Amino acid sequence: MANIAAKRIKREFKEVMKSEEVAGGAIKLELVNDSWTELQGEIAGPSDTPYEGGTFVLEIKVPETYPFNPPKIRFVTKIWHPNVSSVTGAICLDILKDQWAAALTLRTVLLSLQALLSAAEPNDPQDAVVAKQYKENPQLFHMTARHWTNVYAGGPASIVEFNQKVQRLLDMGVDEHDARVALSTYDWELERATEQLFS
Amino acid sequence: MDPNKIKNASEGIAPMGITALNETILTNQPESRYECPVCLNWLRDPVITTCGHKFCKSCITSWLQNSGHCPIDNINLSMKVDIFPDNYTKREIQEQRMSCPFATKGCAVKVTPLDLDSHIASCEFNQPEASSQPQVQVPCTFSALGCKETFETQEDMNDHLHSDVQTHMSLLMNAYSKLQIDNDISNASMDAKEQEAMLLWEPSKDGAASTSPPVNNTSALIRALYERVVVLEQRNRELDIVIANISKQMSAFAVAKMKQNNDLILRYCMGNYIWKIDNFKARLEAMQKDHFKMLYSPGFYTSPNGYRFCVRLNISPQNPQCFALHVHLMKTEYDDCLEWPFNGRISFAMINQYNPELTQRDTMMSNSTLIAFRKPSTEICVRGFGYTEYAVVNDVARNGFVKDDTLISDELESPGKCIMSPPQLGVGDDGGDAREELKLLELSSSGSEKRPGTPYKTYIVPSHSKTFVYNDTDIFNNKT
Repeated sequence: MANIAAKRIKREFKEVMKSEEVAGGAIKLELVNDSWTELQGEIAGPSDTPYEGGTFVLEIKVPETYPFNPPKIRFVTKIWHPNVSSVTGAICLDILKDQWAAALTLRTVLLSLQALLSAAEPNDPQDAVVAKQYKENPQLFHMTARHWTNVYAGGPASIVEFNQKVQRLLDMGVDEHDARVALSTYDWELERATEQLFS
Repeated sequence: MDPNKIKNASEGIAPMGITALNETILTNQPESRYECPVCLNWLRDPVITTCGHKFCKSCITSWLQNSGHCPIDNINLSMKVDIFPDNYTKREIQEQRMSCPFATKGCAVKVTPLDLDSHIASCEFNQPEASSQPQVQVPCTFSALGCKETFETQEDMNDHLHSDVQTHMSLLMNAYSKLQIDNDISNASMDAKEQEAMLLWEPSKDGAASTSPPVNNTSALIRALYERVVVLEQRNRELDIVIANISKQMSAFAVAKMKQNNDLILRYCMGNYIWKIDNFKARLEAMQKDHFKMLYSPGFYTSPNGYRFCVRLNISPQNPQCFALHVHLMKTEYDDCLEWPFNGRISFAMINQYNPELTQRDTMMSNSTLIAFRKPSTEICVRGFGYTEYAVVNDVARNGFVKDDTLISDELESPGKCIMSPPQLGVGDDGGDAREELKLLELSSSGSEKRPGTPYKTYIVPSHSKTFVYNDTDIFNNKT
């Protein structure tokens, strides 16, 4: 079984390397170790989304039973998205769970993840806080996601107001990421975020 | 590898054409029709599903142990009833022949794709790789500088490094002086470019924006120039946006102005409105075809805050040979400030555009008992007032009322007491290509009417049959 997994990953790796998406810079795939069980993927944030301009790194673990079971994938780059945990990077996507099919490949999975960034599914959330904001305050969600893209994924849009608020909490001695999570969670209301951090 | 096996394999060779073609595929990558979507390898014991997909038997078996669906299209599959052996594909794959990747080393074996992996593992030419390795010559570490010695062992190289220090030093010396010369040349050309760039440098007028004009080294200069480019591009973009916004505002303003102008004419015509009916021929045809079709003029005011009327022209329901012409009161925002019912004189004039003397003028007085003159409760009062047989259709078309396909009708209304200046209505219609203009109506009213000529007179053109003069018509009755 393991033999099939390694062979298939090798073939898929070649397929990805030859694909036009790699040539176009939309996706990237690298080996982490020699045993072909662990890879690192990268997807570019799709245009016309808050993730535009960002590069998101993914951890890909190939199980022994691949391709009969899906690869285990999570976001290493922190991202503000209803279907991705803002804490662990765990992804809620059907094809990585019960809808996995053996005919799917790393290339199609990476492209699906990129599509997920374009079309979030807030009714099947991984991160309830993000999904709530997405549904109730889409504009603020958009700004927050852009801010995260800027800070963690090298996106272009720096949002001065948010940076200042994070800095205020940093000055109080709070860890930067904790500060950002608290502010994002409480719709960038400094008082509520402070209260939560210090209670 | 067992030599017999090799022999067997080569005996099963396919016809020349196919073999030659297949030999061009150097890698062991199957064509998509021979590829299993699960292991991405050559189909081994291929099976085909009821949904038309091919897999290795072992692959689909493993997959269906945990899932009841096709890996490609998610259609329900049962191992027992939906999977069939695909011996056609199996035969085709077995007929393929691939050369061993060690063919360049002398392996002449050709095997089916399925056997290739096992052959490679045991190919006798797979081993010699290791035995030929010691023969590799290690070049001297100074080879980059031009030392051409090569060695079979590390010891030989060490000896060489010790004994030929002198040679290596001179090689180094040569390389160093060459480097310096190159450097000088590039420096010289750099200086010229730098001077040129400095000459082009033109500090911007406001000193604050560009702080450091005299830059002494090239990279700083380039950086400064680049920053300026960015600043200027940004400014350019901002100005583009400003221009776009302004032109948007301008066009919105022009539209609003045009609308306002039209509204002004209707409101400040002081009851003397000229209705030009353009495209008259086409409209007339439409009305003759469908007698319920009516032409309405825009609503106009007897004074800026006075009564508001519109004129209706249609084919008389009683007599299709004639036009009917009525005025209707319309709601305004100041109706409550006016006196009701409307009291005044209404004159129509249908202007003869070739011979002004033939202009048809008619005047009527309002009748306070009629619903038509009461305060309108709908946007347009359903009751109108006017002539059910105003003019004979053919006369209008023929006798010079229509010019350039336009009929002009004037209407003048004046209310009784509260509003001193009388309203005037003109109605114009531009017809097809008849090149005629017809002044249809003039409605002129009493009292303070300042229009010369018309107000107090009623012209009756004898050629028109006019059976009803004052008529309280319900426009909706016309439909019956």
